[in-house]
Amino acid sequence: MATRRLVSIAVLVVMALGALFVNQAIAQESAKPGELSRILEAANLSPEGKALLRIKGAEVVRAGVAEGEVAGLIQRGVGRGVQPAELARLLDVVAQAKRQDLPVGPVLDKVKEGLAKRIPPARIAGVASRLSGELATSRDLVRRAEREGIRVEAAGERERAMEAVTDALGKGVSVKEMEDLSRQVARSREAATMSRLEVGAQATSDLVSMGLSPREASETVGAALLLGLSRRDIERLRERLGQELKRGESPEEGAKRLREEIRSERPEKADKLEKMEKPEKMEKPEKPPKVERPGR
Amino acid sequence: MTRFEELLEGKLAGDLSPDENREFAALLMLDENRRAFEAHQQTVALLAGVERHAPSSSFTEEVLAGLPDRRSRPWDKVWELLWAPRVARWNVATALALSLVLVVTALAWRAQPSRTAVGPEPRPVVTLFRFSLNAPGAQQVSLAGDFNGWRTDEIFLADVTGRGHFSVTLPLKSGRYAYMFVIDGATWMTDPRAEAYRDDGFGNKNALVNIEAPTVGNGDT
Repeated sequence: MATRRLVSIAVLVVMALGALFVNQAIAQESAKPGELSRILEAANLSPEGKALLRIKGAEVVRAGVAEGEVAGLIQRGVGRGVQPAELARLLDVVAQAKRQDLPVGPVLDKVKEGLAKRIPPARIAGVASRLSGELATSRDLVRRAEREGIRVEAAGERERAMEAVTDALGKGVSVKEMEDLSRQVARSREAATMSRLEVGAQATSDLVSMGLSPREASETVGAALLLGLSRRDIERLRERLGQELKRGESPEEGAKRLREEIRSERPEKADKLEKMEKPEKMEKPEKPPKVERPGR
Repeated sequence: MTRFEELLEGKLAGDLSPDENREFAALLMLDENRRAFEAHQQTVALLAGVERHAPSSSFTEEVLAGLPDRRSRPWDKVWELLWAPRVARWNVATALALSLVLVVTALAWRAQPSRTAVGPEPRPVVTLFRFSLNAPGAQQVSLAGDFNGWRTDEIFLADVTGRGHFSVTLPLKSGRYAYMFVIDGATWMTDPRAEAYRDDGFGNKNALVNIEAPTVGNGDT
């Protein structure tokens, strides 16, 4: 009994010492000047400019963006001669994206890209804001897709799908076309995974950038998804369309031939593709004739 | 305690000596003592009819817990709180209710879409990719893209032949990257033979590279 008591006392003493040690370490860490402060101290800016960027930078960090990223962005902006007020506007765009729970990586990348290319800050802010808007639309679409049964099988799949959908939206593919694509992924049951939505969105973007209309592109990729083509085969749609174009076909003709090829690869599911290609031929229920009611 | 009370106690216990019995009988002559004796006799008769119960299993702990605490130091109180043995009372209904709560909680947790069980991030596989550009007359060609935060002063292409054929091989994780070449630190140039392109939003086109499989790729343009 006495031994047990001694062991218990020893354990409690060790825990108390550990807590003291961790507390001390945290205190030391918080006492260390942050990266943001260091960058601002070294920056060749007016005191007002430094104060503005310190406040804005702290705001972005509080929103959840890593301090290193914020400090790096400020350093790069100052290095490019961007005025503190303009830099604060760019930081605002990043903070807003983070507050909306969007993947902030693409927005940060776009700002960095703009600064590197010496684009006027106002234009960078506009492009980054538009990208945030597209990311928000993609996030909603990916959430809906998940509710409709599309599975997330690995960490990071959601973000990658969101970025691929954003890319497609940026290329002019409409939200409805992306929703249709998502539904086709969901319908493929065992293959209804977020990674297939990602590859579908990516292939659609590729086909659009090769000259296909967004509608034709999303229908071609949708057909491949619905027929259960592998990820690799869907990624190869771009190459296959390229081959058709080399033969002198127009993008539309090439896409049509591509869909025919897909259909011949999976003849057992050709009827699904047929219906998808010609939705206008679907039978509609006849409307009952209008009857005028007396007294109206 | 009076003498009568002492004798009364002995009388009720049945251990009075003959002398004490005589003394007790003498004291009973007083009305007050006789009334007290009769009251005690009635109480004994009542208690004899009371049903006896066995004490509960935690009777001892409960009694001990009810005793005044002799230790007054706060540390002793904490110690007691942490280490005092406790008896949990339970029955089948309570156990079933608790099991039901646990099962419902687990089901609700799994049903939430955001809590979808996901596997671990697959171990990143790096693919070597070669970027190259024919830029006769260029002194320096660098590469900037998503993979290096668009830094123009980090990745430089080498002109090994000295005939303006610049190239660099990079290890890249799978994914899709946008990039551009920067000639002599000032002129941004889209890879003319990239596999795909994307508008950069600023009036130019970024080249795109798609890293798929862990094989040695060749972006030689």
